[in-house]
Amino acid sequence: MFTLVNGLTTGMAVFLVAAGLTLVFGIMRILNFAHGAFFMIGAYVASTLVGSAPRSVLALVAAAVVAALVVGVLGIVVQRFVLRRIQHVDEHYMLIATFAVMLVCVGFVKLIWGLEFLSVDPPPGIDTGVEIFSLFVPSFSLFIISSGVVVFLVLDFVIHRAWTGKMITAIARDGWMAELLGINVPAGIMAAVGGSFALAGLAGGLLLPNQTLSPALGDTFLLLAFITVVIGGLGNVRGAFIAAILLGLIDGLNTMLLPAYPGVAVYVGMVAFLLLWPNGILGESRL
Amino acid sequence: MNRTLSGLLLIFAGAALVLLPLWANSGLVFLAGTTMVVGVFALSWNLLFGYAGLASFGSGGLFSIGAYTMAVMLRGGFEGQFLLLIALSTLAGGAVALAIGIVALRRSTGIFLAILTLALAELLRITLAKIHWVGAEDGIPNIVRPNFSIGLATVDLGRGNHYYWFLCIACALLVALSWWIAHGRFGRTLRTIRLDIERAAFMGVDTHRYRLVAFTISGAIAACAGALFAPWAQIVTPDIGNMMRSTQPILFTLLGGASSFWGPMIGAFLFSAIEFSTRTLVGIQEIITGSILLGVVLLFPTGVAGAWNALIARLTARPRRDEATSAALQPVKE
Amino acid sequence: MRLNRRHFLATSAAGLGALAMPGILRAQQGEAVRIGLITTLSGPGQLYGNYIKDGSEIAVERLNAAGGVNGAKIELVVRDDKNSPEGAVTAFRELTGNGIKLFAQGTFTANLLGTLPLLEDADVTMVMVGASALALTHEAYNPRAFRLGFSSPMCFGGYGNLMAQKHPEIEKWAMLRSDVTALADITNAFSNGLKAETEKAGRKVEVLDPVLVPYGGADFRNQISNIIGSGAPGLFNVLQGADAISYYKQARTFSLDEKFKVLCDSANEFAIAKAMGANTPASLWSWTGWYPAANKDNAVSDEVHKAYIKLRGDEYPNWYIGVSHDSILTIANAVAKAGSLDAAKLVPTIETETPQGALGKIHFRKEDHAFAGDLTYIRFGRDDKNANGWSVFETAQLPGAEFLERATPGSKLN
Repeated sequence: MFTLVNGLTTGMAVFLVAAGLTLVFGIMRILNFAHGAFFMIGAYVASTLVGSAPRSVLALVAAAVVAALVVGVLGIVVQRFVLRRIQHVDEHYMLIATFAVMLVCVGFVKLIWGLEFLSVDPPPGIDTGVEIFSLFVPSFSLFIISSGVVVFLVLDFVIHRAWTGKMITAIARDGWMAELLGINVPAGIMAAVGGSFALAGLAGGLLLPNQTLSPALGDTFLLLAFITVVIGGLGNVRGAFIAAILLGLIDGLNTMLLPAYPGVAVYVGMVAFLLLWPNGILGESRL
Repeated sequence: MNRTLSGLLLIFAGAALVLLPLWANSGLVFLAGTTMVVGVFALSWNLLFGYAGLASFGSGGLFSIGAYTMAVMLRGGFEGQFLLLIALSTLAGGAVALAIGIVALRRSTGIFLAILTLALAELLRITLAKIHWVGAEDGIPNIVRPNFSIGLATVDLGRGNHYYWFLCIACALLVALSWWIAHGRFGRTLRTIRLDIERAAFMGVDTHRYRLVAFTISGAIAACAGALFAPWAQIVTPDIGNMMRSTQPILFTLLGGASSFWGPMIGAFLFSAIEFSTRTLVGIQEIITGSILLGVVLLFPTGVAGAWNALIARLTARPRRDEATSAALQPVKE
Repeated sequence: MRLNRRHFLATSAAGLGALAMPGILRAQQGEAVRIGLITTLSGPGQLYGNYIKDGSEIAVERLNAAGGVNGAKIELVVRDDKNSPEGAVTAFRELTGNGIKLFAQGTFTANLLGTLPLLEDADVTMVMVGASALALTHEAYNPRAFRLGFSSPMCFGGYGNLMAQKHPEIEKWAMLRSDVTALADITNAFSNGLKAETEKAGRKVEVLDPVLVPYGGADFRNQISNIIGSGAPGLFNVLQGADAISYYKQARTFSLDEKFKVLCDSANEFAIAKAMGANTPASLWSWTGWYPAANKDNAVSDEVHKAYIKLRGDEYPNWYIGVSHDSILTIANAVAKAGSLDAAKLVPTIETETPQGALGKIHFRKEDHAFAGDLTYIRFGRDDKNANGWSVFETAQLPGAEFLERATPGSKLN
């Protein structure tokens, strides 16, 4: 039973990271290798703001929001000076460009924050556990789960209900037509890319008390987030949400049924998913 | 003019490589040998990408299969049949690629194929790291460089720079083979498929079969490169097929230029040259490598080979211009 | 790099050794003695590679300040192994191609396994810095290489032994380790040491099979919940670096401190406390290769400690600092005593010499060139009275030679 709750936690943590990744894919059609690095920068920025012992949940969330803003601005810089310039070249050049951006980011994180491990504690209020129907659940897990759900709901609303989403969807579906209709396409893309990078930064801040800060932090989540985005159907936020939960549950079952091979089921599950639903469980989406 | 100049350059580069051990530092020779092998490996990847339009992110896994097959066989005492071992490793890689291709190619292409192959390569790496019989994480060390015999002549590849020269010959043969595949009827058909899969199918080309064959050939050559690499490095570890290895050919190809046959090779040597000349700047390796990559992608989106072709075209400044630009623009999405 | 003549004459044994061999002295005077250092300076191992570089540089500075070797300065040539065997081989071949014959190399076993077969051709003498894998002194033994590191049976067998002595009341131990095959040596050694000592005292102890956690994983809560469910009062954790810290952080919510009477960490020593500060577990044992406060009467250790504080402003140096310092010292001392750079002369010199290093007298077992220094264990934990939020409660030392595994150079142990 605990395994399931924890699977949900893992899933939501991964979703927080994957949300921005799938969004940027929906708009720009690129698999952003640098996403993990921006997640890491978000975490480092938030840790600098909040110190090693945040005073309250609010302080942590505020730090995460500021980190999101910083990373969002960085994202706009990257979009302006790198991605936009090679937008019309083969998509694989985007890949190598984001790979290069990742290397540069990791290099600068090492220079700025050093190599020593840093750690941020969960703030009071979410640093213990609660009993739910005689099941011990760490309250930080509840924090992650609710953060994931909130981010998903907000994102879903923005994309499927609000006018911003309609505009971005229009741009993603047919930029040329959108332009004809009087939508400021470059500004729209800029906002959306900034938004998806900001999501990476936000995830970095929110997950801060869960992980240890090291320059390798980006790698821990990048592959899992990739898998989520692919299983969910590229660019499909709802798909990513479901895929993240599935992934968390698979990982949970893995530790329960095959404790000798931790972390293997995720890959096997992914290969199976890809062969059964080659376009993701909810299909590819241009938002 | 373009052809002759590039041809001369190629001959010059080849000669410099062969003569390298006569004057260069042994570290440089080792690096050159490594670069040749990964250059061929990148070439095999581009056979798939540049010609068939399929991007694999798990080519490191096939490299690893070749290297491990060779290492296990050499450890098992089959040193006498080196050529046979190379053939066997190549076949192993080809067979695995074929199996994956049969299952995956019809279902997924593009980014799905990329992620699928990436996951398979990771699974292979994790599995190898768990098997004690192949040394788990520490791999198989102390791989011997065997004797090599053709007819009556026998060369001891373990001595001096013999294995280096053997690598030169082997890589040259593999490059020639790739050239022949890429520029023959098969390569032309692949290009047609890449440019317009529906039209190719309409013209009666069995597109699936062509792609499957290309996938298999590419995998076989990657494994062959791995097999050549094992006795060169004299150690194989599961990390020989890690994600960095799988991204290597992608980087080299895009750096050198995917539209050019020689692009991946050029990219490989350029990358090694950068790494070697910045080896004393420890601690900021990532920034240097990243910045250079970024610079190349932004300034020469057609890779070094594309920029070179464009330069030649501008210098010769004759009506041939359209040919050069069309070559340079090929990686653009059609 | 300041040369102090008085200091040089007074303390440098190197000077005396050189005087005895005037011919060699002349040949080497003026020309620097170059030592190649190959370590991991990029990627995930960079943290440890940086420690090794710092420690080695401190050693070179100290030795040169004391007059160098036979009047010649020591020059350290540092290269990155790029976290791969072929990176290490490239660096090794480059440096040997430039005529370097003295090497110190460390962090990852596979990278050492890549260079070891090349020592003979280049006539190289090598000290393997901090390496713990058994293969290096057993199946991959090379007579030109010395392991200045602690083998797993030695430091973790000793660890088990110590725990059996300190906590005879604990009859059941749980273990948890990262899913890395090489770490199985560590849990096995701990378990064997624990059992051997308890049985000697006529008691019985149960050691549960290790619970595995993914390497480089993001979430360890499932396994934490498993291990708490085991009901054992003693716990031995084998995770590395960031994984270990994330694990202790996530375990805090489950009150790991209260669920177990004794908590042991394999070898992360102060990395945990430095990162976690006031949230460090209440009490945690760890092995360490070098802890200056435990070597109070060792002047070299104090000097290295001071030099490191000056360099990095960090009062708690990682154990790699001391080990890498002593590695360079071992090489320099051997060159001074042998008056030669040839492995044929250096190897017997290193085998017989016992220079005073930060870790104590540096001595290698002759048969397989394994290091058998003292084993140090520390217990530290949360301490509200201390400004940084934690302090060291106790240290224990055991003679390593008693726990060193059998010498079987050239073949596998067992």
